[in-house]
Amino acid sequence: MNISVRKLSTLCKKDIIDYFKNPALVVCSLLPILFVLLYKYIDFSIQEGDRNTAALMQGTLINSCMCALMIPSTMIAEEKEKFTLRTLMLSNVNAMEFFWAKILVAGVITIVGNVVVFMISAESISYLPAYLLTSVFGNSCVVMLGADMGMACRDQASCSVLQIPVMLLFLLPVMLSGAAKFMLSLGKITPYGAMLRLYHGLTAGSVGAEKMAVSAAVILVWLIISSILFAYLYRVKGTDN
Amino acid sequence: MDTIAELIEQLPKFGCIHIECNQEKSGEILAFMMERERSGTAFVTREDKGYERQSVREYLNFFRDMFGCEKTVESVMEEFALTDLRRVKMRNLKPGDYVKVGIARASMQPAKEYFLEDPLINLSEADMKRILRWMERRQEEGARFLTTNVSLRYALLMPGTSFYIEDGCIKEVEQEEASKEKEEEELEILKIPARSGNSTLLFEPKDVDYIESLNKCTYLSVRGTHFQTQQTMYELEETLKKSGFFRCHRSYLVNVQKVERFEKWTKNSYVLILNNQDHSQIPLSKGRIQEMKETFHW
Repeated sequence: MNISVRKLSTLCKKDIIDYFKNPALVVCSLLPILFVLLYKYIDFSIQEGDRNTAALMQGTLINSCMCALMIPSTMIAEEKEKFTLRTLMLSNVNAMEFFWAKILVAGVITIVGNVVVFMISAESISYLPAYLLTSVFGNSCVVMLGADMGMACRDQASCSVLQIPVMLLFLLPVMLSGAAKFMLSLGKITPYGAMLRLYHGLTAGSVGAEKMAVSAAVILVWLIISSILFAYLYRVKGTDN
Repeated sequence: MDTIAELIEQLPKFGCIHIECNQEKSGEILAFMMERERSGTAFVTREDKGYERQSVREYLNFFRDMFGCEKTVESVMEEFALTDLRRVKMRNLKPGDYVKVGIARASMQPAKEYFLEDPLINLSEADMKRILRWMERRQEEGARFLTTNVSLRYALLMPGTSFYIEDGCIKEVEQEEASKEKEEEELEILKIPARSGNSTLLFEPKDVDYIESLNKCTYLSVRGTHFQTQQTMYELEETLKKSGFFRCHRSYLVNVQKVERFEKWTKNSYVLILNNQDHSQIPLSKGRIQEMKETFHW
């Protein structure tokens, strides 16, 4: 399946403009920023450095989860629901051009959101390259999963039924890893748990090379699973309701 | 013809095929068209209402970029009378505007075939003319059209051959004149019986706007409502001649008193426009124009 750069860039342009016009999606990017601001400026009786790191971790988790999962799935489900995807397919846009546009746009919005969170949290700027690297790697599989969810659902309502449990599944074990050993173990095999461990390993050196390799492998497995699921759903469900 | 596939195979021969059918059948035809090689086909479907947060201009601009079309969006909007709607959001358009925007989009696509669902529905008279002229021009350039229509009236207005579906078979609407029958001395009938639920209504000829034949049934159009009658078109034609009715098409009998004007919309498309509330457009066969003029001394 050939991908036309002209069509891909036209689709990306349209999706980015549409993102700014869609309040439901803009909120996905604004909420984590508000959360980080709250975390930074409300006194939780923790030291300044720890507070910055904590704000960064919480903000990254929420932004990554909301944007990487919700943006591609909502956008794809909306196009299916309103038959605009069918019109695109009938206008000689191929499925790969369509899905790659969604994945690229959702990926860029997620990473830009994460960089904003990083800047607000005032973490040391020297950590930015490691942060970017782990953000891109960790979110790649989640954006792909978001696209899978959009493809699996007929409309936005059925998509939201899937989005919330998957979001909680990815968020809670990492956020509550200090509360229970089970959560800590579960967090290690979620994409975001692995992503944060990688970041800590690259910046603070608190995670050993072996554990970092395991974290990278976890993300890689998620990426492979989501890609296989994508291929399967594309074959079974296609692009039309 | 028994199947859609057989009919569509004949598309190169007919050039333009217009089918009167319900939405379910139209969906089947669309599904069939989607299964075929579709790289040179432009589609306008009734479900697609575009991207609701885009304006008409943004929507057309997006597809212009997508198709790599050289025409400007302004010229396309002007051609389909969309300039006044350029800033209106797609979600705020009226049903007829969606048709125009859909066809404007299709007009920018490099296509040799067009599949259009209900291309004339909910349109004003002027917009119908615009769409028909565009279709005629594209046809002259070698493009082919396949349309599905909820009303035979719309199918007959478009350039090409019209079909209807009856008992699962696809039948061509005959364009030829029915043989002229001899006039007989008959008792003048002042009322036309028509069914409405369990009762039979009796209409005065002057109340009837036009009579339409569809799927072997005959319907009277009275103040915008259709009532089925048991009489055939031929019987009605014979009995209503004296009341000023004229068989303007094989499937239509029109009350000439209600005709406001008749117009030539395209090279082969003539239309009678009634002075009723809907300003109904009734197809007029090319071969019957002379007879009509002679009969009514126009």
